[in-house]
Amino acid sequence: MMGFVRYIPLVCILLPLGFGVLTVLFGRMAARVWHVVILLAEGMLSATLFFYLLTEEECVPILSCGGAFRAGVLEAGAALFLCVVLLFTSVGGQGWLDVALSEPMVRRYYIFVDLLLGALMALFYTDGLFAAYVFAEFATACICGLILLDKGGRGLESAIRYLIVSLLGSGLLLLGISMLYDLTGELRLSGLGESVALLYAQGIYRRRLAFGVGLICLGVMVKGAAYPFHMGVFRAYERAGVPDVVVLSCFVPGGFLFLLAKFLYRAVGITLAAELKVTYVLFAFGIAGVVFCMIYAAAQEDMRRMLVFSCLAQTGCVLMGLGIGTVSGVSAAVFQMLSQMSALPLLFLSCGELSSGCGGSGGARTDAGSSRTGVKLAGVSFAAGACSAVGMPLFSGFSAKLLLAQAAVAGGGMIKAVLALAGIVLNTVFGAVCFGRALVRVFARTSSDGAEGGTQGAAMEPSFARLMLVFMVALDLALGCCSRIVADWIEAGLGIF
Amino acid sequence: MGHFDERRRRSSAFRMRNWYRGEKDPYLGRVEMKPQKPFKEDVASMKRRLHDEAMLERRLRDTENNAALRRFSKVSEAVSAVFAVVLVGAFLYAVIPASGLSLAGGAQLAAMVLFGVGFLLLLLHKNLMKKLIGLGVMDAGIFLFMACTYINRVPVGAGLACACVSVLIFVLMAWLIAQIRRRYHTLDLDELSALLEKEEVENP
Repeated sequence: MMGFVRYIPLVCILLPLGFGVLTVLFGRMAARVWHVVILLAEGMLSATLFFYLLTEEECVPILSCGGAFRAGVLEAGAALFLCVVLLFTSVGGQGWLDVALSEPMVRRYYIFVDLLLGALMALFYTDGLFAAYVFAEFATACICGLILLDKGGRGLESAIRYLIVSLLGSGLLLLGISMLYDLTGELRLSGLGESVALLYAQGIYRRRLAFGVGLICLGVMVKGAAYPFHMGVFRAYERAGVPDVVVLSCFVPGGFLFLLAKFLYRAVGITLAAELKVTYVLFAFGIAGVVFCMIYAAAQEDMRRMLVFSCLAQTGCVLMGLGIGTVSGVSAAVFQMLSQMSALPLLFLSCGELSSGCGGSGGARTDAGSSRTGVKLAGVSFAAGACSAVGMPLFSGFSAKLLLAQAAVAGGGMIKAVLALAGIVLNTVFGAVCFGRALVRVFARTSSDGAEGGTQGAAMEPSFARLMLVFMVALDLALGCCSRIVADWIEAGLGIF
Repeated sequence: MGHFDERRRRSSAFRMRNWYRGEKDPYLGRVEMKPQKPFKEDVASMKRRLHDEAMLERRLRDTENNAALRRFSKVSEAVSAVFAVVLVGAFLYAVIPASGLSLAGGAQLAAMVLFGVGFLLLLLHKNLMKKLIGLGVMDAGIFLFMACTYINRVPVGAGLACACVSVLIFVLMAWLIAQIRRRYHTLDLDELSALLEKEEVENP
């Protein structure tokens, strides 16, 4: 069993990369089926790895490729979660692709998403700093390809803007990696922890060390499009179709933030990061994102812009959790990441269905009506996603905020605790205002409005789309209701992270 | 209308609910409310509306005539410049040891200056070709720094892999710029935005 399990991380990376390239040979339908098969295979492999590591008595991480890739409970769990949500998104959003894109473009979409999945898996499993840089750049190229699916001039403009900001982040990341390597002579994340601690204890090169670690954190934040480095990707989010925007705004920041958490926890050590004052910078950026993005979201009239700002606010919550600078803070940040990956795709998909139900083309306004059966279901699932994003009890968003607040109060210090609590409260209040307003407008219309005003035949294939919406609501509720179990898994994973 | 309804309509909770729903109806409570007719927009009015929205968008981004926007643009450029200068300054502070500079330290300093110049060009310049040059200079700075690491030498394989990736991304950016130049005959990012807005106004 061990021999087979050891190769799972490598297979999880190579499978989407190799078969993504093979998609060039297929037509639209075959590419779609192929994509779903890849996701199912990835999900099953990740689940095998996850449950193997969870039930193994000797709690040790799996190393493959001579230690280049390393898998613990947390990496396998995050990969499994990504596969499940991406599967729901791909199946639920396939109708959108048929409506919005021509056949070659649909095939190109599946190629880029498969390649991006491989890059994200590599970010989850990699244990090398240079490998992380290479796969981060690969992810950037795939994202540019996804943005360029919009064949108009706006696609070109969005791609070049995204590339410029991303390259600034890459420069900072590579410089930080070089500086850290210069000091420690170590490229593996697991080996860096010891060297960095030794260097800090010796008291030499502390300025360089702090600056190198800070550069890497800043670079990953820029590449993950955290607030206030979101400017390059915002236009891309606005212009992309529903499945693209889910991939770009939920999964890509998730992958980069997971890398950041891994770097801080495994390579630097969260206590040492707090002593180097790096966590203060993360906390400041996080709290700014949590508050300002939700204020911006509350000011939006366009539903998709509102959701994008809400997504940036959730990213801010993850940074805030990492910035608390304790193990429970990292645990809360990882839970928040999972919550973000479950709630936001649900919101984007149901928003798209609502939009098509009232005659829009994807960028729903907040006065979308909900009348027909499918649109009503979309309205209900939008309400569930909104409850999660705001932080209503039973949903995953509530548990994430609760864990963040507990972590801040338990070990963040007085000022951090007060600021974190204030940030969470403001985020909840502004979230309630913007999502409440959207919900009231969605449900306030009479049934006759939507029935006559809506286009017949919504963009998504009804049965699949509705089923996926139901699954996603169930996933979010399960994450919220079983938050204690998931938090225990995360803590078990942090033990061998 | 019953007594209960009358009281409910006068309550602050009801007024709050109406305000929250965005309803401002001057006839509320005076005349009987009728359900609204479904809104149907014909093609001509839709085109007119889209044209108006595009014009509004264009006016909002018209840097030549909008003084507030011009001021905002200047402030954001200044903030970006300060960010870049602080970053480079902090790097120099981190790199230069108190005991003075060795040869390798001097080379690292030169690498940092290159990185800073490239970073500023990439961040601040509106011209895409200059941004591309900035990217090249920034990459050159990084690889010079990697070559001059004196405590631990960066492995050649890792350095080469990073260089290959950087070159590929450089080529991708150059290809994007060539596409923009071919289609819109401009290399200025702001001008490109203006052209795209104009295109959207003409073909809503």
